[in-house]
Formats: sequence, structure tokens, C-alpha cells
Amino acid sequence: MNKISWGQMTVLLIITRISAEMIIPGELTRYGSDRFWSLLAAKLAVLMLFLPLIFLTVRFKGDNFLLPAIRRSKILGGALAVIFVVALAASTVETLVNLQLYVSDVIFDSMLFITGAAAVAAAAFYGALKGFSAISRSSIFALTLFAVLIVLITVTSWENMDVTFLYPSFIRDGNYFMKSFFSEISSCSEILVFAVFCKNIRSKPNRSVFFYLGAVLIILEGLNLLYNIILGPYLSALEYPLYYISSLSDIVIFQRLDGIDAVVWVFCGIIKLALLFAAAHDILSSFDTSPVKLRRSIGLAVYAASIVGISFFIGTDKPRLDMFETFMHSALHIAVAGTLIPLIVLIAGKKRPQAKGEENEEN
Amino acid sequence: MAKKKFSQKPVSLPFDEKTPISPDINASCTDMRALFGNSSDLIVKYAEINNINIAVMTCEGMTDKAVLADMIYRPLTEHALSDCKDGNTLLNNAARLLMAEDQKQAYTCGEAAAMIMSGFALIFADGAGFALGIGVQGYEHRAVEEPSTHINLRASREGFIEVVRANMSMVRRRMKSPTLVMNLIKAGSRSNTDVCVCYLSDRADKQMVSEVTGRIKELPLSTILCSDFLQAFLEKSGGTLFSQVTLTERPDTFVSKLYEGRVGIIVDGTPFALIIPGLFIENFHTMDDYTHHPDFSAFVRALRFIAFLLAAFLPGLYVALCNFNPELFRTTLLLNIYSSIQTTAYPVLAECLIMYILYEIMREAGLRLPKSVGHAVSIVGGLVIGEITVTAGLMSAPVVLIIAATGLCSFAVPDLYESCMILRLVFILAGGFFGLFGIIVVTSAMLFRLCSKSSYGIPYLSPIAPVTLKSILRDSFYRRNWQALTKSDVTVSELSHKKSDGNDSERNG
Repeated sequence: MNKISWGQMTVLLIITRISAEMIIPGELTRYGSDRFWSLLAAKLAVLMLFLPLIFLTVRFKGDNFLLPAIRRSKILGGALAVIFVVALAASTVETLVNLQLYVSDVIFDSMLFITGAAAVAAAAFYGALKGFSAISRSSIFALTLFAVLIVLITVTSWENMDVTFLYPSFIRDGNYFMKSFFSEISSCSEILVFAVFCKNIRSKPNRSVFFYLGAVLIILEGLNLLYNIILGPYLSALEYPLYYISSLSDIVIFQRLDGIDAVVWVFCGIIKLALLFAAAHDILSSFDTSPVKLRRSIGLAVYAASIVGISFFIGTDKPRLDMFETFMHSALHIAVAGTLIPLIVLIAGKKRPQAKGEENEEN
Repeated sequence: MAKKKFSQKPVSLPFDEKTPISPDINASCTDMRALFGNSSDLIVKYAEINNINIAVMTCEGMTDKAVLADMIYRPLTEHALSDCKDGNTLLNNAARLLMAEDQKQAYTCGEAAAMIMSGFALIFADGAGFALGIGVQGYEHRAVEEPSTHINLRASREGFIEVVRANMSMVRRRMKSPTLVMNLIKAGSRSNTDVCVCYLSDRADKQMVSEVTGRIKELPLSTILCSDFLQAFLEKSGGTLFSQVTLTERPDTFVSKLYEGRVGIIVDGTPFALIIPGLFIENFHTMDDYTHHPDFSAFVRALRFIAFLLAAFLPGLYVALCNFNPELFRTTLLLNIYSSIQTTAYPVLAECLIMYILYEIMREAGLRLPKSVGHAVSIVGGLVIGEITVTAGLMSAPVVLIIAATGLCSFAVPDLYESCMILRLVFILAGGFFGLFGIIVVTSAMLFRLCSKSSYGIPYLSPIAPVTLKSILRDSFYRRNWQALTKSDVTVSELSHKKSDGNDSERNG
């Protein structure tokens, strides 16, 4: 079992969340302060959603959402795992589809959907095979790149900023607020990641949730501020606001930063996908405890191939994609897998027979 | 010494190395000859002392003849060994008489042969069931010179040579501490190469030392001709693009790494010593970093890091941007590149690949040729081919410039040259076919690979990933001054992921 610190988990959760920021659907980009409030409200709601998991990590120290359920009954564990994996797969498909659409929209318009999705999934699959530790360490580089990008954009866009675009206001469009609110919660697939990998945090797992929520709130509000003061009223007409802001940035070596922006998002996206694959792999490993890894690796490969197939099926047809996005924006999968299942485990789960001094294995 | 007739006939017997040394000197000599396959370099000198027949066996070229005469022949002939009634007594008395530092006894022909080949003179005596070995090693070797690689400005000019014992003495001279342990092990089932495992007993992780020693003892190799042979067997992953074993030709670097709690391995026959575990960040460090001002060292380290990134990524990025995202170039640069590309015969990807392969061929040719011819190759390659390909319209000037610049950059980090070479090719292909997307997908996979690597419990990318703030701030990108370095003394085992992935949560947070 690869153990990491809560600090590393925080970085992972942040990367998982900000990778979802690459695509803000056109209907959700809105000039004004509505998104500011929706982000704030959504983060409070996410904290509420995290509560069962937080209690779960306190009650079942060193366990994830699944192990206490399996201990109680394999049937219960199996049923919960299946529901969880479906939600996880939905999140994975959403990430893969969004990533591929983003890539074909901004840096490689002639790429076939299946080629791009397969390439990204292959890299993520490889990451999942390399282990949770490898992914968590890679996320440090992704976060560093993201920070460098934002600093570069901020410095080079100084002249484009106009604070008069800001004006104090409260929620003007309740409908938009609710949409944005649920979209924020639905983007919160890190709750699924935390549910699986909370057992891999060496100590104080809950700290990572609090720090991540705080950090993500600051980052997202900061980005929202950046969108508003640079793009102003044009924000409402754009789908990838940061991409457009970076295309206005001139860092002398490059005339535009949009290519670097795309690189950062794709990198973050691959890490998120790898993490989601690793979560599925971990769940599979909870049932298949044999020391032979090949069977689990084949299982993961089949899962990854299925995800690519489903993404292709959904991502290449506009009505299907719209229907899928409508479902995903309801945040039902987050509520069920991230909150309801941990709540059930919290009530019905069984503690370990005896607390043993756990020795941490190496990679 | 009186001569007596002994059997000199060549023998060709099937032979077992475990055959005990016979009390009959004739039989012993026959056995030894058989074991050596009547090899011409086995020298046997016969004599008689106090009516006891003796034979002194040496290996041609492995002993110092003056020492042999002074330490063995003269004392044996000049000192009366009259009280010796049999071979056993003679050899026991000789052992006391001959005050050699290196003195061993061989009881089997295999042991005797190994000692002879290590530069011992073996004395056989009639009636003795063993042979007395006296270390009189003295073979020709290269003098201690300045290392050909890892050249430094202010650090020591001494480099390792091919003789393991000379190298051991260079290490000992720099670390006069009883905690410096040097274990000589025979490795290679056939070559019986001397491999010296060095570590500081109070700083190196015991488990790491025993694991390294165990691996060397269990090496499946029959011959070890240079330290690289061992490298793949010492890496847990079995050898990858980025090696987790550091090579050094410098005793000062070697000792400094031992001080950090690492394990060093000196292999006889090669001036390159191995250091375990090797970390990625160490490829950007040199001994000079510790002699210069910390700010200057930080600047130079940053330069090396940028050079590595350019060496690996620049050609791939250029191809990717030209093919898929030309809008990222500055307008003037784009126009210049565009006009260059217009006048050349090949697409950018092909141009880059051809130029890259040409460059590597020139480098390889220059490397293997005598120095004088090598210079000529450089001139022909660098000036003539570079100039003519552009004027003839075969290559565009930016491609020539980029390949030349990346070639130069890769020499700034010599330890990563091979990795850079492969990565460059991969990124050119990825960038050529899939643009920036291809590059980032390959980079992600590479990063996952690097992040998953660990050597003897130490993550390869530490102290960056996982983050160990104490080490990052101490001596990674920036080297603190000596006062601070002395205060915060750390060993490499503190980067172990058992500690850094978990227990540093307070630091990471």
C-alpha cells in the first residue's frame, strides 16, 4: 500500500478539481459576480457532502469507504462497489470527453476523437499501473506548472485588466446561480478520489479536505476574478475563458500563452484520469487480493478500454453528449457515491478486528 | 638454492578446483598446471631448502619482481631454516619470517589459483598440505591523472584509475575515519573481479548496505570488465532510461556521496565507481558547486536544468509548433521560419530527424576517431555540412540551429546525455505526429515512470517529488552556504519514502 502525506493528498485533490476548470461550458461562463457566490455556496455544499467521509475516516482509521463494508458483508461491499464504480466511470467518461473536446477545439482540431481519447487513456492507464504514489508525485509538477502559468498570465495581462469591470452586486440570475452551483458540485469528482484513497493517507486525512477546499476556493475565485477583469462583458460569450486570456498574453518568447495553457490543462487532465483509473484499480484490488498483479492489470485495461469506448459513443454525438452532460450536472453521481455510500458504510460498516501497527509497504 | 629435476611435462587433465593441495610438490605443481591449462604466464620456480623441495608459483606480470626477490627469495635463502624437518614446519616458519602485509594460506588448488591470479606468490613445500601465499602484487597500471569526465575547475585533479587498491587508497586518504568500511568482494564467476563496497558505517543505511552486498555476491555475471556491467543488476527496476546508479571518476565526489550515507562501489579494471542510490537532481550537481559562491552555483545549476529541458524538448517543440501551432511564434520569427521552410525540400519533421541523425553520426564518428582526425570531423560536420545543407536548400537554418543548440545543451548535463538523446527522438516523433498534445502525453507517461521509481527506498525524484522541504532548501536547486550546510546535516536515507511520503506531512503541509 502506498502511503502519502495529507499535504500530497491536498495537492492531488486540487489538481483533480482545477483540471475540471479547463472546460467551463458556454452556458456557465457569465460576466458578473454570480459565479463568485455560486462558487462560495458550492464549496460549502461540497464540505457538507464530504462530512460522511470525514466521519468515516475518523471512525474507521486507515480504511476507505469500501473496506468496512466488505468486512460487514461481501454482498454489501460488492453492491456498494458496483454503484461506486458506475459513478466513477461516469466521472471518468466526463473527464475524458471534456479533455478530448478541449484538445480538438484548441490545439489539435484535426485529431480523431478515438485517437486522442485512446492516447490520453493509455497515458492515464500507465500512470494508474505505476501506482497511486507515482500519480501523487506527478501532481506536484502539475500544480507547479499551473502556478507558473497563472503567474505568467497575470503578469503579462496586466495591461488588459480593467477593474471597472468589477462592480458590487449579489445574485442577479437565480437560474444561472443554481446551474453554476450544481455544476460546481458535479465537477467535484475529487470526493470519489478521496473516498477511495483516504486509506492511503498516513495521518490526519481530514486535513487534506479542509486545506483542499480552502485552496480550491481561493484558486477558483481568483480565476473567476481574472476572467471578469480581463474579459469583462465578453466572458459570457466564451467557453474556455482561461484559454482566451492566455492567448492575449505575450511572454516575449511566445507571442501567446494558449499553447502552454493547453499543455497545463491536458497534463492536469491526464493526472486526474490516471487517478480515477487508479481508484477503479484499487476497488478491484479490494476484491482480488491475489498476489498476481497481471489479472488486476488486465481488469484495469478492460475498464480503460470500456471508458474509451463509452467516451467515443457519447462524445461523438451531440444529443447524446448533451443528455450525458445534463445528467452529470445534476451531481447525482457525486451525491450517491461521494456522500450516500459513505453514509451507509458509516452506519453499517464494521471496524477492524484489532488495531495493528501498520507497516507501510514500499512502492 | 639448489636446483633439482622436476616434472616440466605439459599436462591436460580434467580438473576440479576443490582438489586439495597435495603434500607431494610434484603432484601439486602438476595439478596447478592442469588447472591453468598449461598457461604460459604461470611461472614456477623450484628450490630446495634444508633438503625440503619447495616451489614458488607466480603469475607473469602480476607481481613486482624486485619485491618478490626482496621479500621471498632473499629471506628464504639467507636465513637458516635448519630446524625445519618437514614442509609444514618450513612454511609455518616462513610465514613468520616473511613479514608480508598480505599473507594467506591456500588449501585447495582453486584457492591457490585465485591467489596467484591476484598477484600473490605461492610457496609450496614437500610434505605440506597447504601453500603459503605472499602478496607481492605489482602490475603495470596507468598513473593517477585528471579525470576525463566530470572535469572541475577548483576541485581535486585526481581521478580514479583501473586498480581497485589504488582507488581504495585515494578514498581512504580523503576520509581518514574508522567508520569508513571497505569490503572487497569477488564478483563474476569466471573473471573473479575485485569489487569494493564502501560506506560509512555510522551514516549508511544498514539494510541498503546488506542489500547491495547481497546483490553483488549473487551477480549472475561470469565476467565483469567495467562497472556498467553491475549497474543494471544494482537497479531495482533492472536498468531504465534514467539510471538510479551514479557513475563517477572522481574520488572527492565519491567520498562526498559516502558522507551523505550512500554506498559506493569500486570495480577493479575501471576508473568509474558506482554510487547508490543516485537521484535525478544529482545529475545537475558538480563538485565545483561546493567551491563556488552559493549564488553562482545556483545560477549554474539553473543553467544546467534549462540545458537539459532544451536538449530534451526543443526539437520536438519546434516541430510541434511548426506543424500544428505556428500562431505561438512571434510574428517576425514566424515569417522568418516560414520563409526558411519554403526554400527547403523536406517537411519540418523529416528535416529535424535527418539533421538529428546526421548530428549523432558526426558525434559518434568524432568520439571514436583519434583526436586529430576527430577535430577534422568536427570541422567538416559543423561548418561544411551545416553551411552547405542550408545553402543547398536541403535543410532550413532554424533546424540546423536547433539541432546544434540541443547538441550543445546535452553536453551541459553529461550524465543525462544518453537519456536526452532518446527523449529528443521520442519528442520529435510525438511532436511531429501529434503536436503539443503528443508531447504532453509522452511527458506525462515519462513523469509517471520517473515518479514511480525508487532506489533502495529512496524516490528517484526526491526531494522534489515527494516534497522534502528541508532537503530542497538545503542543497537541491540552491546550495546554502557552508555554515548552514554544516548545521543541517542530512543523509540520503532521510529521503526514504517511508519518511518523505508520510512523516514529512508537517513539512509538506
